[in-house]
Amino acid sequence: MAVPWGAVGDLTRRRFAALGDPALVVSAVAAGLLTLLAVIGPWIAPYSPDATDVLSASQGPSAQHLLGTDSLGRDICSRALAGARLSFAGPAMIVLISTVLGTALAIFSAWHGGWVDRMANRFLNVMFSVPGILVAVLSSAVFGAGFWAPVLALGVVYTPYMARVVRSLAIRERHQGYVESLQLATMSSWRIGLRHLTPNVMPIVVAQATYGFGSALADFAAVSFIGLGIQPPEAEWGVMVSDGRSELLNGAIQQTLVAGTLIVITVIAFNVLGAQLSARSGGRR
Amino acid sequence: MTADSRRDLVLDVKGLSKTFHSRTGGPRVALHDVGFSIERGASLAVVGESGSGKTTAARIVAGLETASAGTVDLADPRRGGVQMVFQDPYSSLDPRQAIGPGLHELLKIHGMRRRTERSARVTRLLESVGLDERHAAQYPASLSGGQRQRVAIARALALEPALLILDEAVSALDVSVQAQVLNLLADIRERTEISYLFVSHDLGVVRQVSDTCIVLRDGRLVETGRTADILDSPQETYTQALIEAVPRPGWRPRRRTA
Amino acid sequence: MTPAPLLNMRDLHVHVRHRGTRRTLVRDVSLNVDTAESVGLVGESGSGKSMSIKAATRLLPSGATAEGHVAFEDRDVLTLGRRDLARYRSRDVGLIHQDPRAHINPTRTIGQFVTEGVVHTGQMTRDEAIQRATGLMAEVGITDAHRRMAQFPHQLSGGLLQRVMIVAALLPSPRLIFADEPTTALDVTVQSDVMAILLDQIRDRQVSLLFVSHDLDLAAAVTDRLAVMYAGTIVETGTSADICERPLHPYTAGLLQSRPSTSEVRRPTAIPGRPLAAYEVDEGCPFAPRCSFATDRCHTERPDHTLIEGRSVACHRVEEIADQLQERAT
Repeated sequence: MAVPWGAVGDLTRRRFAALGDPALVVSAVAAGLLTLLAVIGPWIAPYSPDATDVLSASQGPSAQHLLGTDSLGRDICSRALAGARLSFAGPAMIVLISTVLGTALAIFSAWHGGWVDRMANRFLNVMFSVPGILVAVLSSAVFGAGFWAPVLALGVVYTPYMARVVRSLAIRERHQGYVESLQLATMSSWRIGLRHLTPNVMPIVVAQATYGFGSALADFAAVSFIGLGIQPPEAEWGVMVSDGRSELLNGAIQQTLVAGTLIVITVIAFNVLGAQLSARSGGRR
Repeated sequence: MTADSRRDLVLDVKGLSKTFHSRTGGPRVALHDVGFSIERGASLAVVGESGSGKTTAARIVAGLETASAGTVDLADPRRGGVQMVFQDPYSSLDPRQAIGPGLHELLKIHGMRRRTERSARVTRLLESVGLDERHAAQYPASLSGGQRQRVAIARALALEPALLILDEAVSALDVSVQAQVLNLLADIRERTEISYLFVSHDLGVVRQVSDTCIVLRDGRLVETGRTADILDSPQETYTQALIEAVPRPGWRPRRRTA
Repeated sequence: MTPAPLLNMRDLHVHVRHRGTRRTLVRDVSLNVDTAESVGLVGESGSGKSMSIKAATRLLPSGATAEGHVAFEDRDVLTLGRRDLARYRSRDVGLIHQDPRAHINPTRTIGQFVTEGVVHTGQMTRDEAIQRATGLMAEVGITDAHRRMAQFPHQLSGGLLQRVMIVAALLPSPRLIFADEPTTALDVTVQSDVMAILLDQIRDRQVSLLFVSHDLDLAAAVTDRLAVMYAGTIVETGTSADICERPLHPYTAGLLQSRPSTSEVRRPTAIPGRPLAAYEVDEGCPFAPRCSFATDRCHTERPDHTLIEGRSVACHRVEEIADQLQERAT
């Protein structure tokens, strides 16, 4: 499918009318491809991500090494492909935790209304004011660096973002006629919340989860960058950016550039896709 | 007067009052000392304009609001004994659930465990409101306003209530479709022993669908009696003004003198 | 020779873009309104009555386009330039909408809303406008007009706000008022009051009225002539009295019979099916699928307007079934 870059103007818009916005299409394709690479990365990598070759250290792109090598002679392309897994796994788990917690909190709060909702709202506001990275750093400091400490911490930190967005839609749905009908039909509030309210807020949940994935990826990479997340010699984009710092002074920019660029592209793709989905999920019908 | 114990009443409301307290505006009296009753198989209309309290009264009877004072006695006090059909056909059905599964879910909660038993009942319910199997697979978005109200009626009937409250249930429908639903409601009442509490501002609808009616104004009972008597020879000036304001053949609009 | 009509709509078509396809909402509508005449446009959902008015005032929603001729005093409304269009909408014609709150800026006072049109087009000075407006407000029964002018929309009830809309519509002394379901959202006693006021005013000032409603009885009571619309076209026109007493189109007859009566218990005769929009009908008469008089010809050939008994009816069988329709009604 030919997607003309820089596509603005009526002509392109009309051609894609059936598919939708170019922004939506492009970001969806990009996010999809990157996710695919994360899944199959290690299988298509030309070299093992751990294979060192000191004689070929810090080299630029060449025929044998498409994206060059790092300071230990490992193939950057392979490390990037393998590292994609951890770079994606972290934010995936963060989004999963925050989605489940945030959605449950929002629906519970919207259902009960009154003082329950007010208290929950105040609690969320407090959570908002805590900077995410700081919590992740503290978490690693207390529980030890690695995958789980920052992921759990960030999962909790991202919960209010999901909760806030779901809450306003949940409140609106909660007051629709069909909810009262179900109450009259003696359906329990648990069942109404789970089987009826949750599906009706799904569009905004998916949109926010997609958007959050992008931000979580950047945050997770940042924690690894400062050494409190994934530890070297594991391959992960944030670790690679950090590893590449020492080579920058020697003019070897390839590791930092590749890893950094991948992070930026992925974050943008998921953020734009999330924003597009969000814009399309506001209406009821 | 007939003693209440000899009348087979499905609903008996006495001294119903409701005051709403908003955090900004202060107290608002929605209902004051309103009383009415419905016999088994009968239909009572609650007539009034905006602010009359008719919807509040209906919601209290249904159990969706609590009264500030007064009593609501139901012959069938079990939960689910009173069902309601709302005015807006577009928000009264879960948009993400198909019609058939929705009915199955209701019946499951009501205690019907065997799937075959439920399927038979779902088919009967749909037929009883003039729909069929095709509609069972559809989602609310593919149905028209009139069809959605039929589904809402079917869902209300699924729990076999003794009393069905219709809160302006036909007001949002086109005239030609409204007639279909009114006829359907009349047929259902003929076939079963169900009683109706019909909230409406439309006197034509009220005439066709109710035996007795009460007229509310600003939360207070203005007049009560048989529908035919009230509409043919209203005793109170407010009721007269209400009837005179309804467009009908030969009618002309008139300025209020007050 | 009869004078030219004030408003002349001829072969009006309105389409809207929906997900890449073109949907017709109004098809072949032709309607005239003469000076000092009241005409009603009656129909259910999908009839196209609101869209026709929106086309005539160039207030169609984005994505909708109008084709055909709409002439006001021999000027083509559909091709008016920006300045002429502003004059047309704020001086030549008046507009009364169904939901006043959706058409009044909540952050500006009533006085500002009512006077801004005439002042902006240079018809009156601000002082003149205020003076005339307060006078008009008193005429339509708004007591304490000066106080009301300083209030904001949310402080007024629906009925009061609709009276303010009437004042705003009448202030520039228009020659025609478009009223789109102006009283549908009001209580029935308020509706009677507001309609009586509107009628008094237009009769006093010799202003024409194009009144859109789904309520046949209401429209008949306030207009001289009626046009009944179904699925985007006009199916019958005639004097209001004639239409109600002797409907000649099966749809009109069906509408009259499906109203629940306030004076006796009589099972309304429902029309089977539901009202369709113009784009939902194929060939043939749009009402054929629901019509008990439909023949094969009705399902394949679109009827033209037949002139009969001084009225225009879009039905192949109008002469044959005229008496049968009357029997059904009684």
